[in-house]
Amino acid sequence: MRFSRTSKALGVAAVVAMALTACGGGDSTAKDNGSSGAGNPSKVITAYGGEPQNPLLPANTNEVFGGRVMDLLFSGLESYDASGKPVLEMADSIKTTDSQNYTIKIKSGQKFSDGSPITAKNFVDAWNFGALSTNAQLNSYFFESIEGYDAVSAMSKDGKTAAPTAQTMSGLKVVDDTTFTVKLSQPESDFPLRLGYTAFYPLPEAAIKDPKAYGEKPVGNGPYTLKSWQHNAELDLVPNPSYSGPRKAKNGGVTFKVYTTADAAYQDLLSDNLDVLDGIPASSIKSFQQDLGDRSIVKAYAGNATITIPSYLKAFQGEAGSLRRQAISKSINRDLIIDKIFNKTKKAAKDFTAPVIDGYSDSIPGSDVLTYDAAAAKKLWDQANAITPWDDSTFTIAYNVDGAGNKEYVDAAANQIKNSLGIKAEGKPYATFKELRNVIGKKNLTGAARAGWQGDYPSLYNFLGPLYGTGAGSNDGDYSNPKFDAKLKEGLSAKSAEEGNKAFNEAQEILFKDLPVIPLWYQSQTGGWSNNVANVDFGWNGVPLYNNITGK
Amino acid sequence: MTEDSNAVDGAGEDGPVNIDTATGTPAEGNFPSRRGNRSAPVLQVRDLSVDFGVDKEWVPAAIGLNYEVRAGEVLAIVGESGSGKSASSMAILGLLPSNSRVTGSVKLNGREILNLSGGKLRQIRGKDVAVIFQEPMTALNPVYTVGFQIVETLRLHNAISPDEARLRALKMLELVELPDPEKAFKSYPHQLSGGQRQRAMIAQSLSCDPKLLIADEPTTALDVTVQAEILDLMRNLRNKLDSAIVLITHDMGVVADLSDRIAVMRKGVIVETGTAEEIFHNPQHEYTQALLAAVPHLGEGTDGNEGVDVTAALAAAAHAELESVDAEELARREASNKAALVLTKAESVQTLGQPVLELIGVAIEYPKQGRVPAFRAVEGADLSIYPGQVVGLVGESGSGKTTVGRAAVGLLPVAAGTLQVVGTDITHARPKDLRNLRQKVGMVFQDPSSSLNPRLPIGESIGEPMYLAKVAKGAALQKRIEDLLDQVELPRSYRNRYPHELSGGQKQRVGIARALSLKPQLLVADEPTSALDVSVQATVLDLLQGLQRELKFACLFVTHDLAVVDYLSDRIVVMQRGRIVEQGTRDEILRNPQEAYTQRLLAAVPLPDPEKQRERRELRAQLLAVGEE
Amino acid sequence: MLRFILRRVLQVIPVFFGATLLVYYLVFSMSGSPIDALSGGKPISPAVVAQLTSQYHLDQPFIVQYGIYIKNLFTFNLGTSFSGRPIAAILANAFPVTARLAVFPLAIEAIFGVTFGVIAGLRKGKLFDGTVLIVSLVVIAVPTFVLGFLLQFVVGVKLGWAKPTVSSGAHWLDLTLPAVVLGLVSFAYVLRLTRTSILENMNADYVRTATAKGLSRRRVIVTHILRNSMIPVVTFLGADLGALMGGAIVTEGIFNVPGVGNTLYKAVLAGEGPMVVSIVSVLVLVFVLANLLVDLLYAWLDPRIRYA
Repeated sequence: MRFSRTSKALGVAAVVAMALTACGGGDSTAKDNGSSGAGNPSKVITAYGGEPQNPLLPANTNEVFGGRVMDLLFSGLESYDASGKPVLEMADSIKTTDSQNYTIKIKSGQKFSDGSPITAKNFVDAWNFGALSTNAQLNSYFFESIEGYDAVSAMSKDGKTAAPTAQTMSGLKVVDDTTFTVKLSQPESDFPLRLGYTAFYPLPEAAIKDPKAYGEKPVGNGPYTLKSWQHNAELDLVPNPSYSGPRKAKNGGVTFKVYTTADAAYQDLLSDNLDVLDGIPASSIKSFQQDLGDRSIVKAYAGNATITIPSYLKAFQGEAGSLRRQAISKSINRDLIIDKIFNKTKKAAKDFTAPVIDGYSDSIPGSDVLTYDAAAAKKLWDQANAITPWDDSTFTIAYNVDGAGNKEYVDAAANQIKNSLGIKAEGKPYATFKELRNVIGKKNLTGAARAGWQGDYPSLYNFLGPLYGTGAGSNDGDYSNPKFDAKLKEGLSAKSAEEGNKAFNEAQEILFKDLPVIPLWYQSQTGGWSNNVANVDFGWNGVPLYNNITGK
Repeated sequence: MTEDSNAVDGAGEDGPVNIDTATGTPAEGNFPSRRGNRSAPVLQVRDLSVDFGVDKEWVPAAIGLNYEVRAGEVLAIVGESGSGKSASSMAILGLLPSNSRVTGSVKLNGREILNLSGGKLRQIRGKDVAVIFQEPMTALNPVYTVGFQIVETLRLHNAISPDEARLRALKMLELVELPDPEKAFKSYPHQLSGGQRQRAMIAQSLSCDPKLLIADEPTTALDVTVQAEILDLMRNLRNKLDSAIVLITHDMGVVADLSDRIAVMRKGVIVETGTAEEIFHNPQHEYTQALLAAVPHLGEGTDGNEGVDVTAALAAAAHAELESVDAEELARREASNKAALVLTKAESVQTLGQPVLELIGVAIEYPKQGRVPAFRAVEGADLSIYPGQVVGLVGESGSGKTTVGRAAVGLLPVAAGTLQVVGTDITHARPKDLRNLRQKVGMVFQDPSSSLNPRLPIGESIGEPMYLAKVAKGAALQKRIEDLLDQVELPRSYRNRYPHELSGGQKQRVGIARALSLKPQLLVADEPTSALDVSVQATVLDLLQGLQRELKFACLFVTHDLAVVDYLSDRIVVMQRGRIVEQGTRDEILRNPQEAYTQRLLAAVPLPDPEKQRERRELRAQLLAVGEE
Repeated sequence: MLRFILRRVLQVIPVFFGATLLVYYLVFSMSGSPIDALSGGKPISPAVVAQLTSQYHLDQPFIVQYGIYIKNLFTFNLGTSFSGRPIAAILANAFPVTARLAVFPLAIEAIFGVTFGVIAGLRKGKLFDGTVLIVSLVVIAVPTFVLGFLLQFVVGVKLGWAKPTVSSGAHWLDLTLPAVVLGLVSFAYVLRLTRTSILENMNADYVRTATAKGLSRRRVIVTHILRNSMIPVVTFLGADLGALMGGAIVTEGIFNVPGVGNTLYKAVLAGEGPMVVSIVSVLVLVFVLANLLVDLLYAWLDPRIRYA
């Protein structure tokens, strides 16, 4: 079931994930599937898609179906390869000495598909456009690290209306046609990692003059151009001959067919009416590998599932609260659920991030709290009760019904908690994702809630800062620990990625003690392709690498 | 009209049954006389048997029937429901459902038609043999115009253009005396009145000049004055068209009015045949005798009442001279009628006491429903019923008689005037008051089948009002139920039976028992016998009369049937179009009807006696002529 | 007659306001802000939230929001959805598809339902009648989505006779499978209704009259029985047209038809008041027109019914 990005978010994790696909030629992970490498270069690939929820503007595209189109239409400063490593595309170099001031040089002679040249100004203007609150771009928070963001996103005194005090961010400066500088409001070492994200794409002048019209028919600089967009039916993309980056199209185009349910798409895949499907529907998850044989794929991507236990719940505060969190974590048999419900298409979590990300470690001290041990769990629970007794209420896990599969795994986890700890536990359904978000947003949860995160860009920090930093945007459980915040800051201001990752993993050690959320498993993408195509692989974010797919 | 009356007589003179009482005018030459060939009957039925397959068994509906009909002759097949009269006639044209079996021989003009193939049979249907059905509303297709349906018949059997067919259809509609043939042609059946519909039906049947016309209860569904018109029309047409007619009916009056010969059927067998004279004046078979005895005669009277010579009364009212009756003789009859009236007036004791039911200037409205405006069904009705009195409320459909009956038991609100029932003014009564009232008023409905709860044993149906009114329960209640069953002459063991196990007459007895269970002071009976066969009707009426005399309740008897009213009532109230046009004692109304409508109504009732009916017919023609002046 | 039509059309006005007000209120009362749905759980900067909130008047009380919607409506401006597309364009996309997906099944159920029903009625108790009755019972008993998946799998995937889903543009031929699924259930009802109606009318007096006139069986059936029997069937079909125009969420989902049902469902989930109400308004119109059509057909079939 798709029914909007909401449900997608529901089923998998958060919605916003997107990223660029990796460099083409040397991609070692792309499968060959026995067909000779080149294949049919004029074959138009039909791919699973949905109606983009927003006009196709980079800073306004925050969901998967629009994102996968944008990533083919645009080329950013960099893109991510299949393993999530950033590869320079438009950028010639991104330099900094202090992790706060960056000098970005772009390649010269680059053009949009309509022939207009791409200069540093196109980037700066696009970012300023995306950040200015009156433009109401959903991704505007991506620019919050840049100096001057406060001014473009200022609120009126009563806090009710947007009242920007500047139209542009002071941290952005065009030096010449190919150079611009970025000043952040504080050092952030992973800033370069973010630059492959959709929000940071350049825009031609026309786009800023008339974003509405542009959003219907965007002109980009990516490996493909948008030939036509039949709303609710399909988006036709054809290769962009002027693109010369690493993601050159190896096929005759990509047609995204809009599906309302993945079930329908799966039937089309079975009968070769659809070439590539990512996200096998729940109804077929047990049989798709058998149905498709070597045309199927299960691949881990940068996403995870957790259970949030808000810190504002009395029973889960203090020492007793910490013991209870541990007890709950140890009472869930993750492998059993993955086995029975997800048909082994997921992997039990070992940390708070995801394995495809640079710096990932499966042996962070304290991670043994994620190992199932019913007896130990019971013991921890009893210890907690010795401090402050459990009031014998029911431990609930809130979930949204409109996300496929939520009910099954939440109920299973609740059951395991019930059996391991001998307390009452059950799933608490909400009809829609929106409703659940509303309760979470108002901090009105009376129990735990299911959650998930999909990386916006391949960085450990992206899995930690926005979720557990004090006052961060997606910190649903209101977690706050100054030591953790300090570790994050240390990581951000580190001189090298390795140093930074080390600090981030040390931050995770703190999380393992506090357990603001209970990690469950890492997400993986399931998918399949038709008899008519070859060379199908999925990127770090679970989206197929469309430009590499070839016809047979 | 006079000319038509003459024509009737002329026909009678020349007809197959020699009616020697016909006098005067000889047959005029404008009728084609094909009757010379008397030896060849148009229809010859031999050993005709009809069986219906029910639960894999053959149940006979008609057994070994033999009869014949000649051109210009009317054969009446008379019988009560279930006698097989309809089934046997439908069998002639193969119109029975597929679960039937027909054996024997049916010859039309000497040609065997019983087992003809579909195609050949279709050529005969509608062309050589036409049928007029009972209920013209349902017998004509409601979604097509009358014209369409007649043209369809015409073009089926004749190779003519649509325009020609139209002209001929219009001619037919003129022939059946529809006032505006053009309009009738364009009308849908529901836009015509009952009588007009039947005329249209007849026009369609006669459109192809059939040799044989089967009329299946052609006037049963019609009001009595309309019935008289249709009978006139049919008599007329018989003479003009010279067809053979088979008339199927249960109504002896209709038989007497129209038929030359009669076949009496009972349980699938013809028990007696003969000329109309023979059957009416000298019936041989006991069933025929019983049947004739059961027919209520208007003016015949019962043990309490003397017979009334309604013809004489009408003649006096119309100042008419009848051709069929010697003037002197008529004068004598009129005189004796007058004398009797004076006598009864002298005899009649002024009834005393509080009226049980009193209507003063009552108007009754059917309230506005959505866009349908309120309809005033009764206006300015004055009417009183004293204890022990039986008042017959007579009128044709739409006269408002049933409305009055319903208002009397509080089922309809009174819009103006005052209505008192058993001493209570219920003009502005609230539902609670009415509940008490209803214990003092009983009601018997027309259709006994639908007014009894099919899921209750009849004992419970009878006991229910007493139980609800808390007058009796337990053993006392059972005792009362038994008494009531005794009173309506049903076996006590019937208390455990369900309505569907009872015959129509028995069900109506249950209805009466229930109505009387609370010993009401007033009984309102709304057409309680209209759905019953004559012989059953007679017994139910006898029962009702016996009970009334025994229990002395007042009774408002609502009916369309003047003969029934005459049989039962002390007083008669005549309604027309929502107004009471005339009321008085039985004798006043029957012996000296003042209002033209009452006179016409009385004249329209056919008498189950061919001779008397002829007098009456003539009188009616004159009354109508007077009316038109 | 004209007055009748005019009055019926005028009736739309109160129905329109009543229905839209109610629906708008229901959508308004759904818990959760539409912006939450828009965010997909990712943070949105408070300034953007404020901007969106005032842009879509979400901070206004219900009646003001409704008033703004109605005011815009009179300038033929249905507003834009949260995704930025004009609602009018979305409706213009969805309704033609659903209209095709309504007329097609309607034709199927009318043609096959009536034909089979007539034959079954005329051959009551015979093999054909029995078979058709059992089949229709099965069709009625089996839920639509089971039929849908079954047909999709067997015809679309296994046999490959048709595409399992509807391709872009939703052409008539593509719509065959979903139309059959949608038509099947009503087909069974039409069949049974026709059959019963035929049986009833076969025993009617006027049919006997028609036979007695010497009309051929064929003519009796076609001219006399059929027209009378169609009266209840037409009512049913008219009501069904209205229902089909409302979109069939399940069937649309199975066959991936971009119709009204799914658009409406999505809009409800996202809490898009103006969008839901716009769709409902059109549906109200469609229903009123479908009913009017039925009434007119009814009057044409049955002259006893006259409107004034």
